[in-house]
Amino acid sequence: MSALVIEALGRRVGARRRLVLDGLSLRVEAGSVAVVLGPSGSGKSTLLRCLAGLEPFDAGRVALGTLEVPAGGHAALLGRVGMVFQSVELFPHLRVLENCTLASRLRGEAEPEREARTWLERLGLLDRWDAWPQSLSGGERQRVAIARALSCRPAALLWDEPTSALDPERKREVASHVAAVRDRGIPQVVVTHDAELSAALQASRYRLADGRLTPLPAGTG
Amino acid sequence: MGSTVLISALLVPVALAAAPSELRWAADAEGGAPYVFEQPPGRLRGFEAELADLLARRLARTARHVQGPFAQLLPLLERGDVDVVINGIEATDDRARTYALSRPYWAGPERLTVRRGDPHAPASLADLRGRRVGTLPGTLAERMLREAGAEVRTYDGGQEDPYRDLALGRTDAVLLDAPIALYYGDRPELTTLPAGFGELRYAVVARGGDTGLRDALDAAIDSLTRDGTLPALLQRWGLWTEESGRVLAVASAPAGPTVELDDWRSRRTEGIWGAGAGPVLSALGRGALVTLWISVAAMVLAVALGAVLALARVYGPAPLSALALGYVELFRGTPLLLQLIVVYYGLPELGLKLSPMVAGWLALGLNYAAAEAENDRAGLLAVPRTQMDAARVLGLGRWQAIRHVVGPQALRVALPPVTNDFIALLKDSSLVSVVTVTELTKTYGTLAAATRAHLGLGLLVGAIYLLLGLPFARLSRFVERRLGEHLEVSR
Repeated sequence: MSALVIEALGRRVGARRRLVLDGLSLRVEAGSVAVVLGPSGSGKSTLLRCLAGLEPFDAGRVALGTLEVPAGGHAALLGRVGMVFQSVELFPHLRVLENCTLASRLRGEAEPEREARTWLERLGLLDRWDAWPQSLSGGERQRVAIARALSCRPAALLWDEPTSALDPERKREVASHVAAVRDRGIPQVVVTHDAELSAALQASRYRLADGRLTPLPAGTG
Repeated sequence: MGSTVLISALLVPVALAAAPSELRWAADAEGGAPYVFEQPPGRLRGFEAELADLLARRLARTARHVQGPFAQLLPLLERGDVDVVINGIEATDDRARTYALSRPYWAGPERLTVRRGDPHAPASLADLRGRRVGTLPGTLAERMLREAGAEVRTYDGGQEDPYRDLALGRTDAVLLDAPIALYYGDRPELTTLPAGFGELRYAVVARGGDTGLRDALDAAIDSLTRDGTLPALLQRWGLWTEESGRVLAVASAPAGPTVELDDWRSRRTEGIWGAGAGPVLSALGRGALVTLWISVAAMVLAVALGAVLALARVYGPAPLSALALGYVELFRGTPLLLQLIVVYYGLPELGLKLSPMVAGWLALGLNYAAAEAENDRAGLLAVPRTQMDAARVLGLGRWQAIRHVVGPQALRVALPPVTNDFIALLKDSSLVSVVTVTELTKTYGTLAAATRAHLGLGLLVGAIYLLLGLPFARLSRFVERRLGEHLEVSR
């Protein structure tokens, strides 16, 4: 695995071209975690959507191993960077295993189920492989979403407010999931305003304000 | 893929050109005695049916009847679907300017029919002022009634209807051509006044430029008159009149029994099954098949095109989306009947001549595509946009995401109204009878007029419509359950 490198990322949105990301730079080494904190509306979601390839950026570049993505080329990031959505977004009409194998099946992989089964097992969900998402608990759904993202062997993983939909006991599990992914050497960006989660992660912490990231001293939340 | 179907349908208009050895003649057989009618169902009869055969034979051609609603017979001629119209078409100066009219093959008066024993029954044209009088639209009788200041009621459904309404007391009199009064005014509750009014002449109508055919028809009518065939034919149907003798230049009235008229009278009380169940059931079966076939084919077109339109609206670039919206508004905001007539009679002006089935299929399909597009759009919008994001992040292309993630979820929302629309389409398909397709409702009209069993046949045909729709309603419930399987689980 290689580092996720973000350099001077710029992004304006809306009819009035409001500046949301203003030359934002960040380097996340393989096997490390960056936590991004910030009030709502500070551009955390925009940052994640740019990194996932869902939104274009107007300036700067993103590099991921041999992949160099300049402004306007954001679509190249689709399928390379995994994301765990705040609203989870399992596909309700597909069973657990089908959720995890859809992308690899459509890519025509020889063994589309192998990686999916590995992650479902690691996350303790293998016995639920043929359940409908509707029948799962909130925590189970999030674990399926994690397994689904990792089944595509992403070069980086993004988390959007991963604890917001969970009850307090489940929140603590999120930190261990992040740790499990880190052990695979995958660089991760966790966007949250959950101080407890932030404190539980071995990570570098940043605050997003005015379109730029400011490093926070270790131990702050 | 829907657009491919549409384009190929537009590019392959079925050729209607007749072999030169045919004489294609148009007439409305619904309730058309003694002109053209079916008795038993499926067998064409009438003095004009016989005349068409005789004329074709003199022209060394084979007569082929083309069914059309009475009001659309001349448009069919102009469209080139037929060579002539033979259906009690009155020779007027107006028509002579537009069409090539043959010499008359029959002449006679309009006749006034009233209720027997009605003390206020009108006895002359002058008496008709302010009275409610039934007739058929576009006839000499209608013009005479308007001049007389009558309150005119016209009937599109056939020649039986004005007399039934008169017997029921809905009108005070009926003024119609002598042959119609003879065949339909002959009811125990009614009486037809002996004196006739005015004089009308029936002619064979050919296209304006078709004077060669007109001249050949004139010669044939002349020869059929001189060898006595035409006078004998009119006599058998009870239709010989002094006026006919005058216009045909026949000095002596033909002799012989009025066998066809007598036969008609003897069959009046037969009811639905008079000629046996076979012909009625096979006519209804044919009509039901046409209805089912055109409805299913139109629904396939509507669903395919509707899906394309909905995708264009929701995911297409702005101009395409606007185009799809324009399509939906146009086809949803104008009457299906108008669209049908424009497709069938209007498109030939642009050089695109479609066969009746193709025109009916296309108009129904294009119209219902607008409704299906709206169903599908509602389905697509019911799926959160973030589902698309989640699919894209996993590396699915846009079309893959629509095909595997958004589409299946949208379909579950869109399906119930689609079933509903199919049932509606099944019923709306009865409109294609205006472009000469004899489907179930048209078959009903023809049979009911021939057998006078409007109620019994109506119930039977209604039951057939219900049966046609039922399997689709069940199929849809099954598919709906399958698509909603994931929602029926509990934690």
